[in-house]
Amino acid sequence: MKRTYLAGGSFAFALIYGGMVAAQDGPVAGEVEEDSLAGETLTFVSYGGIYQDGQIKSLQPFVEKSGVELYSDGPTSLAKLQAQVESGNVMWDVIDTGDFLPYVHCGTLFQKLDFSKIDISNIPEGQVGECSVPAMNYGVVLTYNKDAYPDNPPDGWEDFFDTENYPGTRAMPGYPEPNGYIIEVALLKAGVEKDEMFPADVDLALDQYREIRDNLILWQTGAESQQIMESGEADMVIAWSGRARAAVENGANFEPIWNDWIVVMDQLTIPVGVENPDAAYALINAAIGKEAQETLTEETSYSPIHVDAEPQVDEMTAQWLTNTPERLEQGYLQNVPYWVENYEALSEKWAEFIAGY
Amino acid sequence: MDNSQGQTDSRMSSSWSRFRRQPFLLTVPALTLVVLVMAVPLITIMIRSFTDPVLGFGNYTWFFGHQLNLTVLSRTFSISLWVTVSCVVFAYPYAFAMSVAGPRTRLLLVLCVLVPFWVSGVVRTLAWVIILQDSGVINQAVTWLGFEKLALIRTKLGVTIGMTQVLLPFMVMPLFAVMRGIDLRLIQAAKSLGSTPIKAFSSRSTFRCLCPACSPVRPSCSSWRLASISRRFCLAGRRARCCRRWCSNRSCRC
Repeated sequence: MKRTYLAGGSFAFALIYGGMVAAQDGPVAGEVEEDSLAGETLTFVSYGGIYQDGQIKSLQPFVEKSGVELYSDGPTSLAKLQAQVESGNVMWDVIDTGDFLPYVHCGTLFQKLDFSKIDISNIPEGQVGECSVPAMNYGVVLTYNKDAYPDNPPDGWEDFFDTENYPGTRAMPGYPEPNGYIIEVALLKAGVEKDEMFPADVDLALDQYREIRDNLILWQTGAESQQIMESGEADMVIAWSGRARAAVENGANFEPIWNDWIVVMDQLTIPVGVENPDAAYALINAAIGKEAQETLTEETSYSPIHVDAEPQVDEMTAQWLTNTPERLEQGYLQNVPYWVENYEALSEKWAEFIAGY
Repeated sequence: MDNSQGQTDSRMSSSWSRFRRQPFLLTVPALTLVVLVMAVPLITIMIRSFTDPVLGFGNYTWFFGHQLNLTVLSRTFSISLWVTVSCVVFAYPYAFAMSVAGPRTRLLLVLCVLVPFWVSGVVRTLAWVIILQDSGVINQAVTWLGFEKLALIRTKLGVTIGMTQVLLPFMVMPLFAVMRGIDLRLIQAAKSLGSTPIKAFSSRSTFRCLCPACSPVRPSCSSWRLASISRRFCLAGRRARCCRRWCSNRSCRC
């Protein structure tokens, strides 16, 4: 492994954001000292289902070697986290979140990370935040039931809103934490140009969904979205790519539309006020290791964030990988800085929408 | 040795008799727990609602100023009401059946209530999803019979159905506990004295079971109860003569 020894705070800080080369002589991603956490407990929180199962499996070598007792909880909830931090009784040690939360609540709910305790040298550029490291990369895809549209399959986000040509029930994310891409694809459908989209008209976007309300199911968890596909409850589902893959593997006759799939990632964070931050750092450092990332990809089809990871996936899973050159070409990037900046306003309107307005 | 044993016994019996005189003392451990895990956090939240982030009614102004919050609040209450009503409707006859059934049947009935209660909430919820969803068991049957699909899941009706099942044991068990304490011979007595079955049932049990708080505490002597209840049924059945006969050698009037 290549190591460079550097000094100087400002340059080290640049490294954090650049994620270029390891500057520490301390931790190495994926490694932990034998029995270093014997007798300790850690609670890891994520979004449940096949994803969390995969994460726990990828952490198994860490658990065995460090001797830590690992508990699993979820799904990630901002409200629950806030209650824990404010009451000074934080039970979650490491939390897997979506794209925005660690940036919106950096330093208040999520700790500013000490990058001397984790090895981020193998993470691709631009993915490490002040309060988070990436957990993996993946996609949000529009999937459709092949039996429902045999002759004229939908081929883009606008078809999600077109109940006339594509009748049938739709399902979309409906959990309390809002997503920017939900607004962006609706604005594109409403005829807003991509380069004139911001500041975004959230009401206009949500109105697009309100128009198809009678045909709309809001799913709360990834597992629910998977259940909706497997039971045939909806004909078009906006889903996390790994959940769609799991549904197809279980026999759902669904097909993803890769045209403008949404490029997203999950983040690993440590809440403010955890009892044993060093143990939490050790878990994160293990989760971003090469082997752990390979296991996670093999289990979930989510892309590794370790540049040297070489997961061995079967043919079926390979179709769902989002880090191939072809897929990266088709991806759509949401405006993360804008949504982080305007998160509160978006949350308020989103809360009204999911409550039935 | 013998002596000290005797002392302990007498000390124990004296503390027991204190409990007997003041049964309230027995509730102290439970009360302490309830105060610590229920009352204290609730009061803390109440206080914080006026002080966090600044002193005043700001949180309430915000809450009642948003239509969304009011809708959610009223939805919560209306669903609670519907769930309570349907729980009573199902639990009352069920608890009554439990209280009159023989031991074997009663065991079966108790199991039917308790076994689902022991099943994990996630499993039960998913079971309801499978039953109620648009592609679920009920809707498959309905469409097979040639009717239009019912909107069951993700509706108030669906929530009420699921919540009723989840909460039914909490209605059945207390009702059963009260009903079991009532002497069933009272109904026989009432009937033998001319009351109709419905009247006998309604006067006896609705008063005492549906509203356990109203049921008299004093009369623990069952013969007194039998007498007073029978007298009531005599009157109710307009059998004044029967009543007079009953009261002739007792201190009651008709």
